[in-house]
This record gives sequence, C-alpha cells and structure tokens, in this order.
Amino acid sequence: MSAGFRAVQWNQAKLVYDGILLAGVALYISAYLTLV
Amino acid sequence: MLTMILSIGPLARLDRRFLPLLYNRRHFGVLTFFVVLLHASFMVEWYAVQHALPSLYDELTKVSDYGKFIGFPFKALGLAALLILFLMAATSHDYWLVFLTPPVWKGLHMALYVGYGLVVMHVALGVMQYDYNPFIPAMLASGFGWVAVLHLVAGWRERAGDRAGARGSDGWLPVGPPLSIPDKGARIVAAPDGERIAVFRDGAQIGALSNLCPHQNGPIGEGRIIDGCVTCPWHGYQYRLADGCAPRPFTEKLVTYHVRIAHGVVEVDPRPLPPGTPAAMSYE
Repeated sequence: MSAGFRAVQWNQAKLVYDGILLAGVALYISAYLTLV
Repeated sequence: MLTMILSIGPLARLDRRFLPLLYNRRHFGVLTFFVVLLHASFMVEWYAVQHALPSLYDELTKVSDYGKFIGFPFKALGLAALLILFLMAATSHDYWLVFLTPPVWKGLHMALYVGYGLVVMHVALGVMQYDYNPFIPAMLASGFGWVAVLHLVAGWRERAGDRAGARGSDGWLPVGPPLSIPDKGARIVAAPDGERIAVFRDGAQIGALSNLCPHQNGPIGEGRIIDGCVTCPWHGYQYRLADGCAPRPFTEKLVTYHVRIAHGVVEVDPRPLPPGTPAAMSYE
C-alpha cells in the first residue's frame, strides 16, 4: 500500500504469454491467407 | 485480438475460472496496439513503395467521400481506431491510473468499445468491398456476435443480482439473515443509484463498506477478511471492518454505511457516510 511506481519490465511468464499470443497472430494470418 | 480481449470481461463474470485471463488483459491490450501499429505501417509502406503516398493522402482527405456509406474512407476509420488504441496503450501504466483517478482512467479505457466498432466498420467497408470471399463477413459477424451475446448475458446476470433485493419501506436495503453472509466474507447489494455496497461479517460483527477499493476500484466485496482486515482481492489493500480505515501507517479510508437487524434480516442504509465513519455493529 505504498506509492512507489516502478517501470514494470518483462519476466519469464510474460515472455511465454507474448510467445503464445504472437504464435496465435501468426496462425491467424496464415489461416487467413490459406482460406481467403 | 480485440474480440478475444472484449470477451475476457464478461467471461470472468460468468465463470471465475476465466479470472487469470483478466489479470493479463492489460498486457494483451498493449500487444494488440503494437500489432495494429505494425499493420498500419505495412499499409503505409505499401503505398510508399509504389511512390503513391500522395494518393493515400487524397483518399483520406476527399471530403465528399465522407458523406457516403459504402464509399466511406475506411482507412480513416482504421486510423481513428489506432489513435484510440494508442491512447489506451500510452496510459496503460498504473501511474496513469492514479494520475487520472480510477473512474476517469476506466472511462478512457471503455473507449475500446468505440475502437472495436471502428475496426468492425474498417473491415466491413474495406476488405469486404474488394474481396467477396464469404469467410470474411462470416468471421466478422461471428466475432462481433460472440462479443455482443457475451456482454448481454453477463449484463443480464449482473442486473438480476443487483435487482434481487426488494426495497424496505424506509429505503433500507435487505441483505439477508446474518448467517447468510459467509463468515469472513461479504454479500454485495446494490443501492438504487447503482452503487454497490459490500456487507461483511466477521464472526458476530457486521459492517457495510463501499464495494469500490480506493486503489483501483477493485470489488472489495469479493475479498475476504484476513488478519482482521477486509482485504481487496485485486492487490490486497486492507481496511478495518469497524470503520473502513486502513490500519496505520496507511491512510486509505472507505465510505461506510449504517447497518441494522430488523426482523432477523440484516439491512443496510444506502445513504453513504463520510469515509472512515465507524458504523459496524455486533449482533450478539
């Protein structure tokens, strides 16, 4: 309950989350290009 | 990506198992902004590579086109959506949440719905006009339909919960018998103006506090009493049940409400007291 602000950097979990999201984006785009 | 992001809110209200998605929603949003920025830069680059940037400029500034529906400059819609996402990404850090105050910050971030509408129209008036593959409108309609249905269902459920308490004759809101409030937990009731009140029970002590945590407006009523203090489930901010004040050395204060027991039913007075007013009662 303090008022300190820290710049929040990436950590392992966030990198995994980002990896999954970007993989999802790549999957979506490739699916789009094949189906459309 | 926006369809998924917009689904997280209602899903989390409908089933608590989706809550972990809610914790990372902000990060998801900032990433979406970057993906959109990439898309925008690819599009501009497409024009630049053909030395056709002036024609892009002409497309966006042809005033007569803005009067049409089918011919509306859809790229302008995309740009507007990009701007909204940029504003949201730029203010996504907690510093802005405090600086703008939680209600203002939340209001700004509700602009995502405007952004979503712009994106839907950007696709409808853009690629759907050139490429007649039925897959595109199917995806667009199903995504939008899914988000709309989810919101309606979750909203219906929340409204039903808020309306469930009938009004007492003098305006006090009935909560239920004292034992219907889980020990060390709360029941949440809604005042006529929509404000939610969390009525906690700690053994034989009953107190009513505002459901909004002063930190980031988290739902205090969904928290528990830990170490003798009401604890907000979002970031663990704590308040005494007796008077809604955070224990020293912290200075946060919650709005409190009078409670009474009438005919064996706990009732709460929806008129708020100044933050930090002692208002809890013991019923034994």
